[in-house]
Amino acid sequence: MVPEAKFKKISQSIFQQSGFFDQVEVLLGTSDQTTIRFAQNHIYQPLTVTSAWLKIRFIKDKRILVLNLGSFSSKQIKKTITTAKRLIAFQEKDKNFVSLPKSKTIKVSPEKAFNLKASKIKEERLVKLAWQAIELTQKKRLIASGKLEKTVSQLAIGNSLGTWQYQPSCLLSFSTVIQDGHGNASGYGQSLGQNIKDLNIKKTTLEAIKTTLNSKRAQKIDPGEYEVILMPGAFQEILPFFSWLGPNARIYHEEVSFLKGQIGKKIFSPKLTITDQPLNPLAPSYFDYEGYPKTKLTLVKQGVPTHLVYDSYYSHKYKQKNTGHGLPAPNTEGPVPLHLIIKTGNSSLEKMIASTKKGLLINRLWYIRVVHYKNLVLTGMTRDGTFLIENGKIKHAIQNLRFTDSIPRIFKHITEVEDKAYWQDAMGGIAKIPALKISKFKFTS
Amino acid sequence: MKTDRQLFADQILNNLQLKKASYADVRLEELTSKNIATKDGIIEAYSLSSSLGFGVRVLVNGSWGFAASFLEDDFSLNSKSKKLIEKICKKAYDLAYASSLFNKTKTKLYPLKPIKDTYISEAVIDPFTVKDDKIISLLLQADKNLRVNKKIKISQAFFGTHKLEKTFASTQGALINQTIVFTGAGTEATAVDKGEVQNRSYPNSFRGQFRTQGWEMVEKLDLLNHAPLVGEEACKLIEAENCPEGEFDLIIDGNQLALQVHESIGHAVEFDRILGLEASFAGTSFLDLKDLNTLKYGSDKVNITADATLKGGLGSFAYDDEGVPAKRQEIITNGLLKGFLTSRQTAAEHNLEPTGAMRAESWQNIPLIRMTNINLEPGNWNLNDLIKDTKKGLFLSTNRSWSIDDKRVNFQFGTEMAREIKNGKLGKYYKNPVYSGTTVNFWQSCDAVCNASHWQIWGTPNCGKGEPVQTMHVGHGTAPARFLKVKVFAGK
Repeated sequence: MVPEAKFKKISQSIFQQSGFFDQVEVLLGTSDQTTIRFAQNHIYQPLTVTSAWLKIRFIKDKRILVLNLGSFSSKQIKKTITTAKRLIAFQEKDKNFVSLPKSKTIKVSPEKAFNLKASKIKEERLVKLAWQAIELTQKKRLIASGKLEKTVSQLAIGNSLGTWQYQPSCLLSFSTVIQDGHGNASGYGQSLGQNIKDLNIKKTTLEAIKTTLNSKRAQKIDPGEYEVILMPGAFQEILPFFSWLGPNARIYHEEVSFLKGQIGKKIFSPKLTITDQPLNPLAPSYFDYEGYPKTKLTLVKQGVPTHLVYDSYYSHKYKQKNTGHGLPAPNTEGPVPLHLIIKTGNSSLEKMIASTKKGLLINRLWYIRVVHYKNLVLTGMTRDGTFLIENGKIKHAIQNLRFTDSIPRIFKHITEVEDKAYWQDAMGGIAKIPALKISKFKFTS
Repeated sequence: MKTDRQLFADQILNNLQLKKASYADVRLEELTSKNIATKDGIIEAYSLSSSLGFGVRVLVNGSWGFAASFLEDDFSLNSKSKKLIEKICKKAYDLAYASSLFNKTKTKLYPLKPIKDTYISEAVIDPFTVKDDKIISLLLQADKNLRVNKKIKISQAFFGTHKLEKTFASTQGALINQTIVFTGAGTEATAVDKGEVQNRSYPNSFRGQFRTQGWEMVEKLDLLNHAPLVGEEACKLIEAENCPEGEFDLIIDGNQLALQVHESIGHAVEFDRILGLEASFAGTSFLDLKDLNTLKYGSDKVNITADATLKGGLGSFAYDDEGVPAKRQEIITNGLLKGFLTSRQTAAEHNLEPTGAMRAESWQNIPLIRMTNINLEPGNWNLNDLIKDTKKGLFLSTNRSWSIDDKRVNFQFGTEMAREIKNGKLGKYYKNPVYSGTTVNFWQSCDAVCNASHWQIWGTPNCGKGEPVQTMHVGHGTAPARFLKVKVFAGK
């Protein structure tokens, strides 16, 4: 870990050397990541990596240039600023650029943002903990693969207008796929936490083992439209496509978002409420990648899309309020919400299964891609546990199917929401997701 | 006289702790990259990046450990860098040792003659010497040329180049220096009208074409003259009918077929997947060791090679990240499965040969089995003759979406456009085409592959695998080919 004071000193030095420019933004960070990969009941690839990044955004006469360094070397920084002075003249003016944001420093409470004890867990202990999952699996004569990961990172952002933000963080994650000896049956589990206890390695592994045992002798069924229960591990693969391609101001104003003209209209199920909650207890994120403060924002309220998300560039361009959703410059994706929470409902997994006459329970989805951008049609496969439900009971496992369906249709047909939600990884962010029942979900092969 | 890199590598390999290991290797890498993107007549992104660091892989009592760190300035040895080396070597050793206390099986390595060599990939015009004003004016003009009418709401042009300088050294005596430069460029037009959005790209989607070459490849693309047609086709697609549903004979263009080869052959023959070593994330494979020389993967027309020695391919190099020389090998010959992609470990443990396919994204990643250039070898058809020979079918070009299951069987691809083929002639445009199938059935339905004059190596710069995910640049030589009775529908 680099002390915040050192980050500040580096930034100040950059600002002092960059008087030639109108505005300058500095983004600095480090990461110490240890990943214990296991496969086939073997600690396969245990690795630990220390990395650093320094990103400087230079602005002069509405010309913008971003230079990245993989270290904080004063020699390299000096060279980089000299290069920037030469290169900025080649840039074209971006008339839509107004200014970097000027924000007050947020006092981040270290206890909330960072579990010091967890950050100090030794690599050898992580190996031992990962082995627990293997041991549990071996007892059932099954095969475990997965990872146990600890990421300790810090992020600082400053600009020449006086903005300064700093935040350390520590996150632990565990995921596993359990297979039978033939590779025909499998189950999946994952957990995130700020400490080892929250990861529930034993519970997560045992649940994946149970799914695997239930997945044996999977039968083939015809594709078509089914009622489905999407477990959190399945919906986590769908939700990020909404994050990146839904309320994103850039895509919306370019008229390529399905939300165009739909804000304020009841287009989804009334059971669906989605909020972006960056100040969540698991992985709080107090400011965006421009140093602008983040707050809770409702994106969908009882089926009605309510807000778009903006960064400084698009808020100026479209004369809207900055919502603190900037990504690191240069950002060609637009602003994106990365901490989505689906509001829990009043159902339970048991109730959802019991109320299903004929449907499918899907534990995990995989390799989802966009088939049609405007309509947000997606395709992907089921994996690691898919089951047929008949007359309120899980009947048997089924072979994997491919779905092709759209986010507007999936969101519209949500009929039940679980009363508990679970943290999940979600394509560059995190999300808290309950199991969801969808009355119509199309499988194409 | 030894270079700073050699001295740095020596310091690592002579580390007292690593001396206790049965094997260790080190990669010292420096990556420099430049990316420029224009959008609607302005430069949306200009970034210049550099990254420098080293990674140490060590084998202790038959278990692996890997540790890596960034470096501040260069590979010079001083008290600070010596201390860092000590720390990283200890971390790698400790991880390997801790793992060995639990692991029941011991890793074996295929014996390898240590090589000392230097390799520099060919770039006629070093892309880092091309002046920015020249690159920017080309991109902005191409961006402008895309906007053929008001329906083009988004116009984009891209340029990217990467230079990787790496040194590989091992306790077995290898010392290999490689400098690899790759470059890419492309354009994309998005037409929006009547509530419909359609894209067209040149020469390929997702930022264009990439090759292990210099600026000369960008000049050859002739972005400026192609741009108006790209814009016109995007507008044409807005007006086009949706792709019909049913079974059709498909002629699939090379740029789409490249991804088809990638997903349904390249990944399937990665031997770590076959062994279940990537089961938790990237997935496994439907293949088994016993399928070698027995499985009829495709029709007699299907010949697939893995060839890292090809000039200009995005998966070309001289040595992999275990120091194994690049090679050309048969993967599928006349439809029969003949080979897998392997590492020193998987080869030794399963009586195979290492194929030089162990690659790491950068200094901070452990090497994995990755594709090199996986190619559908050319056939003997001229494209015009193949179209003439097709009574009722579709011509599909340029990938729009791609998805395949975790065993590499059930796939579905969308392309930017389709053209009707009726009685041997190309007809109207269709929008939103999607085709799907299963791997072996699909490749067995291939009845014609176009000849070498239509064949080129397409670059895929974004292949993901491993945890943490590594992004690898690989190549696929393809020419258009025909597949019979494939399921097609409109993805809308």
